[in-house]
Amino acid sequence: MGEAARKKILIVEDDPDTVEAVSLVLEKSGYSTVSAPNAEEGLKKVRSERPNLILLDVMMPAGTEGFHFVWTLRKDEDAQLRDLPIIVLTAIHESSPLKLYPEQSDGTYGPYEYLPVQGFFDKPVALDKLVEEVGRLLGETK
Amino acid sequence: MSERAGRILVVDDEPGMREGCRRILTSEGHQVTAVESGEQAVVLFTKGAFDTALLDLKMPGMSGIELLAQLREKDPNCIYVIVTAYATLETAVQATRSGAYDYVAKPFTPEELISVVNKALAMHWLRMEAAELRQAAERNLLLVATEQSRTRTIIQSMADGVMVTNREKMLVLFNPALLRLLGVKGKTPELGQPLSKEVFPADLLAMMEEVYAEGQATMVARELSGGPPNLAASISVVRDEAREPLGLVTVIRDITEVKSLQQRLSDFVSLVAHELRSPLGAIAQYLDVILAGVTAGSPEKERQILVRCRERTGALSQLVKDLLDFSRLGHQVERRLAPLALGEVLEETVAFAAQPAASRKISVILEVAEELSKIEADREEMRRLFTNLVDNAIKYNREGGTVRVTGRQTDGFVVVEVSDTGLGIPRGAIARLGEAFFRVRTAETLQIVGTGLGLSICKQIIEAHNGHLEIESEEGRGSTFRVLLPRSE
Repeated sequence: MGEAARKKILIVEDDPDTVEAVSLVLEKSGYSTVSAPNAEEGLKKVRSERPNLILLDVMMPAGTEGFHFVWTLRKDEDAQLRDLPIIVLTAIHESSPLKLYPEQSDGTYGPYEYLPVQGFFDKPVALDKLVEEVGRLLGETK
Repeated sequence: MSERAGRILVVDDEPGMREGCRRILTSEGHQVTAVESGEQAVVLFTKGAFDTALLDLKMPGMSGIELLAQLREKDPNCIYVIVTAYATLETAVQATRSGAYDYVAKPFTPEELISVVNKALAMHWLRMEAAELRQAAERNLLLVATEQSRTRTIIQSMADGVMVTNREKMLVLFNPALLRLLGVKGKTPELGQPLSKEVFPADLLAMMEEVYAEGQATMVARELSGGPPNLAASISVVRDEAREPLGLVTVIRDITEVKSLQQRLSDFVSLVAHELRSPLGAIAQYLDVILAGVTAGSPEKERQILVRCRERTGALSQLVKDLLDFSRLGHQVERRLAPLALGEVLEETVAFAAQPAASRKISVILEVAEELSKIEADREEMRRLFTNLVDNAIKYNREGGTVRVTGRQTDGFVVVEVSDTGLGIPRGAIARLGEAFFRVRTAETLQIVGTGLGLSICKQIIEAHNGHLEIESEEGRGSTFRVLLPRSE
């Protein structure tokens, strides 16, 4: 597979070792990766790097900033970016003060509106399943 | 001989009578004082000096009846016996009317005298005993009254609300705190009436009903719902000696503090869980990578991963150690305060930091003023405090940077500054430094291993020593942590 053909995955995650581990696996499977440590950097990288898929950790420092990342992207003017597949990495099924569908008072999205993403993975991520799901979302058959 | 010696006064103008009485009564074991006139008797007589007095009715000067009146006034507990030569019913009646206990007619036999005197003495002692009992009873009553008023004062002063209801569910007693906690304004509940639904929360009334109905329950304690927030009620059944229920004592308590403590504890536990989860997740992810064979054929990559795993477990161990310190400091156990020369501690701290500093080409400079005042401090905690600050100054420094540790003193304080030439702290974050688990999160700090507890441990140590922490920082230039500790002189 040539460099131009490699699909690019953006990993938005604050733990550098988790980024490294996930990157290693994805690169081994033929993807290129870029990363951002928070939502703000992540949104910049979406525009500058134009990835094919995003892995997003919702447990970032500012609490719900992962959710805002999703909603901001889904309202982007650029249709290509707006429809990027997103897989959310989360430990949310464990006890956590985070709500999966946080209420938003400014009206950008309604309370309990379903988070418009393509998949959820519990952390630590089952790597083989992740690779499989990434492949499926990118329309590849393995 | 009589069983108990009495003190007897004999007043008689005839020397023979005085002598006769003295002899007879002394032989009975009594103490006898004899005088020849009422006037002498009055001078001699004081309250409590005599148990019985024998007064001759007919004397020149003051008569026996007259003397009787005067002596009775001085001592109503003494028993008076009239001695008369004319034993008529009339004189006997006159004597007893005047307050004499008995009379004896002259001439009398020794036995007659002894009998009359012993009877009088017995009467006297009985009277004294009765008087003592009466006094004791009065003292007890006074005690009971004091006790009641004390109990009432205690109940009125209690911060907890108290009320008592009887078997008929009528209000018997309540204190001002009860009304304050329940937020009762104006319509004070009436004693002797059932509890009004307008004053008492329905939940409380329901709880009380439950205890009334069960009769067995001795204590129910739970938070009230529906009324003012953060109140808990304890209800206990009051029983008489036969274990029959007499009514209920209900105590209302403000549990705002308890609940806030519970909330803080629960927040802290989820913070700790979160702090444990990130490194554990990263380690697990790395191990999965190796197990999946992703790094097969790349021993260098594998080694990098294992080194990182080792570092992360090291950080977890440090987190556990910090948590234990954090909890220990919170309880202030084993703090050993002694006069301490801080210069020595700073030298040790800087010596320990030499190796990690050298690995990042950071120079550590120590400048301590000569004859630095001693402080009252726990040596171990001071070592911990400055080790944390110097470690941070190295960790958050740039490669090839400088850490400067200075010690000097002002009028009241020894001042230690730890300065670095590192990343600096964003303005908004300075105030939050020292909060448990707060860490400045930037692209640079993400690479630095830390627990977010170090500075909060420092703050606790400084506060425990009545000191003060000042932080100055400029992003990209470096930070200064200034510790002020009171001098011991």
